Amino acid sequence: MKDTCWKLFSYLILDHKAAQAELNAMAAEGWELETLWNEVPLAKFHRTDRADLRYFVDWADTAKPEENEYLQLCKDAGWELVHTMSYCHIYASTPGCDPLPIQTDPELEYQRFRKKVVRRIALASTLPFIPYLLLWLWMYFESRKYRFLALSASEILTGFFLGSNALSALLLSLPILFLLLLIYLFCLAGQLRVWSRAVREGTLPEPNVPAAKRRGLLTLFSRVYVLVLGVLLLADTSLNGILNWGLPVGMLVGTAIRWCMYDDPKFRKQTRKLFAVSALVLVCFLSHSVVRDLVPSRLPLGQVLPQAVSIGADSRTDTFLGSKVYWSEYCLRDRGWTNSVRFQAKTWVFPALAQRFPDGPEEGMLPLEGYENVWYSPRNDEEDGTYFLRRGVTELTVTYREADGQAALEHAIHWLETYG
Amino acid sequence: MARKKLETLTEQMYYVLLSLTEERHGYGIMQYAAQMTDGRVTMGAGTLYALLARFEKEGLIVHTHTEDNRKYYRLTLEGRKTLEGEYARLCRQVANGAAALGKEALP
Repeated sequence: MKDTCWKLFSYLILDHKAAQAELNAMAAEGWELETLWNEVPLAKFHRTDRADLRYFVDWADTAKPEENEYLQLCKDAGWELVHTMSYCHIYASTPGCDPLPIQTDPELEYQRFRKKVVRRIALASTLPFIPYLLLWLWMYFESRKYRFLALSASEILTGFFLGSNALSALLLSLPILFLLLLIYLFCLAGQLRVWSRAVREGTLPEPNVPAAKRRGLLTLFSRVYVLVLGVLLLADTSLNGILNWGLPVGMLVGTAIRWCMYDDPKFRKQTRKLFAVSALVLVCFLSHSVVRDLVPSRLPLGQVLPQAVSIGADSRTDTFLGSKVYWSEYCLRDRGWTNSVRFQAKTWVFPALAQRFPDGPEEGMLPLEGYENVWYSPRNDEEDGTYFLRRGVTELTVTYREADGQAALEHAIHWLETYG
Repeated sequence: MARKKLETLTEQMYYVLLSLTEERHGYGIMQYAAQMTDGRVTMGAGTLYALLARFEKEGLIVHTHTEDNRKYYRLTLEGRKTLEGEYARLCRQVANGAAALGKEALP
């Protein structure tokens, strides 16, 4: 006979009574909860001979260290805290005890849940969507030609999509998240209605474990989602160098302060995990230049001009949606002077994105005769000016200062047709 | 039972206040109430903790000291007044009940 068993243990906070029912059902079959992972919602059980084992799952503010006096009271009453999952404490009855439930007043429990938990859930779930709604409002006003800010929403989105994998994934998945939030709030409202009806009759509602398990998939999804975003953020840090020293150092200092402030073993365990994450972020940050050189880009940095003597001020980012590179090339002129040509190239993986977020031509630019998909600025002269070139999903802006514009254009077309 | 104001006390509230006529800690209160009512009035640790927090906030009880992670409380003057008010209300109820039942019991 097996001595241990693993179960998917994924419940929403509003279904904590269903989690309790499952634990008690397992205890009745002779299984005691051994470990519970919050990051991966799995529970490990082992065989027990205890016939009197029972569990009570109660909402708790896990952000604060639990008051020792409250835990002592629970212990005196026959309940020992054995595990903590998101916003819930799991208590097990002490051997030889048949304790009263921790909460014996259904209305008090309901009011406490409604006032403390539901408000917090509603705020925490809704607030992250405000920037997203503001972005949509911005795009709406822009489409109505009420441009009042220097950057357009399209420019900002282009920056996100070509600059950061994590932000791109976040922005693209926001509509799905919004839909899931609505489903979640709908479930929460339904649960509150059932609960308040039961409380009026002086009882608690009987938890529907199968339905709660289905809703618990939302928790599983959120864990996977956060994990994917975390991996993408680390990839951004090492590949795209999106962070400066501030974040890793701030994380390490913050974690050290937390370590010094709380000596509670539960908090120390969490703090150790934070240390590990901070160290990982620092390693990714420090490995940026190595990783960038190791990973080939869709658009390699110059050299476009054969006569260029140096290349500088380069920048490169790659995401799963596209790539962008900026760099300058310098050529020698007479009497030791140099002239410069600045290149800005962007490429997209999907043609639809290239059409939706074009980088140019800027307003006022004109098609250049004799060339296909090349525009020039009417202010161009022999030594200063700008060209905009497009080939398929790739765009290149060439800005020359005190340089031979025509030669730069010819070389740029060659580069674009080779790599673009 | 959660109420907006403590104009009347639930049975659990009444016994919590009654047990704090002497200084007691949480589990002592639970034991006292169960013992006094032969196990009829019982309350869970979480329910009691919420009641104690509410009474303390409303100035009916005061936290005196902590020993071995156990918080001790006792009634304040305001708490005693509330308890006596409830006692008087219950006495009136009993008297009214006796009078009404007595009348019915008469042939």
